[in-house]
Amino acid sequence: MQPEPARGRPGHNISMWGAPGSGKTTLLAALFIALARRNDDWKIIGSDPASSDYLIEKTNALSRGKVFPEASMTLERYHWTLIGPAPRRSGFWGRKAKPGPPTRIGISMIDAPGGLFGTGRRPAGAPSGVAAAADGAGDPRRQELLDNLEQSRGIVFLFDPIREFTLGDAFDHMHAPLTRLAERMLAAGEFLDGKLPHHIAVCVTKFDDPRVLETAEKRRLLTTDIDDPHGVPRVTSEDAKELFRELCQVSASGNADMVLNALDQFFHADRIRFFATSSIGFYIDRRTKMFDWDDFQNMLPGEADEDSRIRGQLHPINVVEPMLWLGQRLAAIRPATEVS
Amino acid sequence: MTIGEIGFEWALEGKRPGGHDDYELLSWSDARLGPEVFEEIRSRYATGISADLPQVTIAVAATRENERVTRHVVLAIQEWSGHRDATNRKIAYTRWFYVPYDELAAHRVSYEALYHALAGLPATPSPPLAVRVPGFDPAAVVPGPDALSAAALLLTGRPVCVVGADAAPMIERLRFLDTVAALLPYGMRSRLTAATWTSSTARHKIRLSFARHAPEDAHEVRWGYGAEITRRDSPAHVCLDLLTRSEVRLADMLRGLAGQTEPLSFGPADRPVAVRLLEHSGYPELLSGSGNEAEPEREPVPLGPEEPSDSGEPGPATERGAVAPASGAPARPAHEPGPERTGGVLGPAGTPPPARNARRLTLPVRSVLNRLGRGHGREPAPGATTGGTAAPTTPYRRAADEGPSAVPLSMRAALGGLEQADHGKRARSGRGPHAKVMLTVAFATAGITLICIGVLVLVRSPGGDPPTGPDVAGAEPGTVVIQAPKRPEDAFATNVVAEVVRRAGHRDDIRRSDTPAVGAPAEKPAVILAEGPDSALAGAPTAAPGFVQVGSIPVPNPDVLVYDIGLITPEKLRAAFQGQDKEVRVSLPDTAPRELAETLKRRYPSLRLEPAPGQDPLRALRDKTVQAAVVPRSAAGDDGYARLDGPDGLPSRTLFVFCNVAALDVLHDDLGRVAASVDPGVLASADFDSPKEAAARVVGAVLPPSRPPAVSKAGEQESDQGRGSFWQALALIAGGAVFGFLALLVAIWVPSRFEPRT
Repeated sequence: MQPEPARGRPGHNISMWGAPGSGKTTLLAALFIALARRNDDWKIIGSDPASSDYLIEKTNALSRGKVFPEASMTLERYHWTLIGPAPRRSGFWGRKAKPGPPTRIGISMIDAPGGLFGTGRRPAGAPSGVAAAADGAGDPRRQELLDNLEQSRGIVFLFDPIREFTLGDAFDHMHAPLTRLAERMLAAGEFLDGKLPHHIAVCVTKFDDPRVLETAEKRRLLTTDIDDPHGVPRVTSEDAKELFRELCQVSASGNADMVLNALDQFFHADRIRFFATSSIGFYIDRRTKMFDWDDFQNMLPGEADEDSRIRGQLHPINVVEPMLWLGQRLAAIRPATEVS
Repeated sequence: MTIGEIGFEWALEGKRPGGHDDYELLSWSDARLGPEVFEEIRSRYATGISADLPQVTIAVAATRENERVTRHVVLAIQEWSGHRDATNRKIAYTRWFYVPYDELAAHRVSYEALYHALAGLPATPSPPLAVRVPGFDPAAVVPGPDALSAAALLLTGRPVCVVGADAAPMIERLRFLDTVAALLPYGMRSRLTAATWTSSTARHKIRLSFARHAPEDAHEVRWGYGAEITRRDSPAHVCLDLLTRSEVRLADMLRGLAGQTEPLSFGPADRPVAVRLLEHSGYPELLSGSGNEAEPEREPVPLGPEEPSDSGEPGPATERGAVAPASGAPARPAHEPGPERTGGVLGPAGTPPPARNARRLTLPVRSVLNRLGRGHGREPAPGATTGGTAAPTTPYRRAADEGPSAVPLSMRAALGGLEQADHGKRARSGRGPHAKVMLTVAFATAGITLICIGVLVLVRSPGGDPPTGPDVAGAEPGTVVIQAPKRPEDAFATNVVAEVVRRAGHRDDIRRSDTPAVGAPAEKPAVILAEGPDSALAGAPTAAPGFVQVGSIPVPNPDVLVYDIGLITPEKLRAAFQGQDKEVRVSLPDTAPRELAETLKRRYPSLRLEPAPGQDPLRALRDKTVQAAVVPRSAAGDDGYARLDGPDGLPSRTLFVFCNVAALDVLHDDLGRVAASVDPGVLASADFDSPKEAAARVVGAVLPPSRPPAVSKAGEQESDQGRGSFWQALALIAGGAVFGFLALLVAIWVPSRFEPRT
């Protein structure tokens, strides 16, 4: 009668962290397509029916409906398993090795509305003292979000350079939860070496936006994967930090550099990795099947009362890589990926 | 039915048009309740956002002001605002309405009536903040097995989630919530949280919810079917029994329950009280005979915040919204007699009853409801009140004070078991001195009977007499013949029928021909799929004598309409098909049937059709000489072009479904329900490229998983039967031995446990 979702549930909690509209939900929605575009054997499978539904529906909406997902209004949880190729084993005395079991990494993703990471400002027109705490800590959803951050050991932090250029509030959406998280970890005795135990994948989103791409080009950070048949420009993880720093220079508030400093202060250097990410990728012409510097925008902004749409096929960039990196690092620390 | 004026306070949650911020409170009635109360309720009862708005959430809250506690029922309506945010995403508005429970209880207002009264208000209502709402008519409630199961399971204290209602409109779900609430004392509405939609991937604190998948900690109730309630769910089992007793008139019971307006929680202290109120509402003569002087024998209802797992509805604890100890429970209004039950549904007068109430029950529920005369209404029990006499609203008196003959012994025993389960203590038995002898004789008799039956089965098993019990579907087990057209695109409809047949526990025998109506067997279960009269490409329907139409299934078109989203939006393409845009060009393969081209020209004369080579039907679209192309379904996915869903595209066909009487006996109305659930607007999508999978998905959304086939192959049947009989016999003999042993134990050891009646 009741399903058995607990069986085979993944053990690694990963939280999405980012301001409203930074692309958290879209990045998750593009995961299946991102894996399907790769030439390796990695795949993603839902660990319960609701999580599978999400993969199917969002993949359909992006690939066929060409529309972006709606904004989240509450904490959503997805339980997935990343299944990859079997690790290679060398045979004894040159004999042919037996294939091992495929790599399985269980992940539990938490996608929260971006506003929960904010400073919890009072409702417009409300008298002073309405928000009990400066960061809205009395909100049960924020408490749940912090509970999840405390339990997780992996964070996907989304930095939206367009929003930073327009509003400059990335730091506002980082410091309050970070401070609360550090407080909890300190109380739990997991802040002993002065750093959080989490791994954090910092994703510079909307890499397909011309302003971001041009910034990367001007800094000569672009490369092309020789195995990529479309010749799509990319920024390597090593250079993504430089792109992040460069984009911080144009922050509307001038506070973006504090994000970088906070990352260095609160996380181990070897547990931070930067990615230049685009959930929809660049437009690839169907005839030439090559990236075209004169025609690469894949998002069609909607007019008056129309949804923004995706123009062509999706070619996600660095969408699955942060998940795989986190999953592999967490699995290496705690190999038991399944709980029964 | 009375019409009452209900006061309310409101808040509006959303985003500012073009804004970058997340959802927040935008505006609120600056009256008694402050924004902090609304802030708390909106964060506590967030359910996610559905693509299908509007949706309704029912929350509860208690506020304290100057030591006066006020309970509220909070109705939240989530709907699209028509605005967009800075990233061009649609903005949803959630309108929160705080309604004092006292005022609701005074008129016994239903959720649906309240929704209709509040939904029509502007986004920011102006004073006077009051709406006129018709009172609740309990006589109009006709609960199906799902509502009965949900109400019973709510009294276990765990949340209940209804699944399988994806296709049901919001208002029907809201009506369901009302029906479930009507099966409980009205006072439980002061603590009942409910929602017509919740995200399956979000945790929430809603006690009665709809979702695609039930949360782990919730009871799952299947829409239209109910749930299997076992004796392990003892409170639910008892309550279902109470709700479905044949000697109780449902209208009387609901009238009595509607009169019980004293607030009750779903906590362990109040659940037994609720069960007793159910019992008393079913036997109003108990109350009339016992006077109305006593107060409920129960612990005080705590008004303070309670954990969701317990009672689930904490009140906002704020300056003005702090919860308070119980002291200000509203006085119960005098009960007003309602009209007789007329077979309508809960809702506005004149609303036709929903078809889902006639749905087939799951076996456990059906077995209970069979006592109601196979769902054809309840027969009043001998001595039960008849006519429109209203149940009195006298509060509950403890059972010990009542006449011993008032409540049947079986129910008394069941309720006793419930109390023991709830209080975790074993009550002393009042059995008499003959209990030991009676028990020993009963066990011994049961043991001997089981052993005799077992031996009989063992002796008879080698012969392998065929099973004589009726089939689960109530018909001769066997094969259902499906006569279907030969055209490849009709495979979807054929597979839908075949899947329904399989899920009914039967085998399908698909016979395809150009004239499916010819040669259909009349005596065996048979289904015919025939062309509909509305089809543009086919003639009038034909069906063999003795067949009746049970529904129609739209046929996924073999061709689909794809378009380049960089050249045209779906809205503009639809407008072109409606003749509003004459510049849109659509290519058509030169190999397409001539009828298709002619039909397109006839229906859409302003459409500019361009030929395209049949070998490469997408060429014109790739060359950007057309904005859209009609292509075979097999070629539609090649280049990732978007497809146009919806009924505005290509001409469509429909197959009519005809059944003979024998088929109706085994399939009931399953085919009609499944056929009605097929949305023609999505048939163009890739989900329907594989007819078999698409059919399984469509049927699976409506019907529960398949039962094992009613008939196995002949050889398997014999061998399985032989083996089955042997093990059955063995089990019976073993059971008999156990009973015999128990009889021995009772005779030797147990006497000391029984005490003589004092």
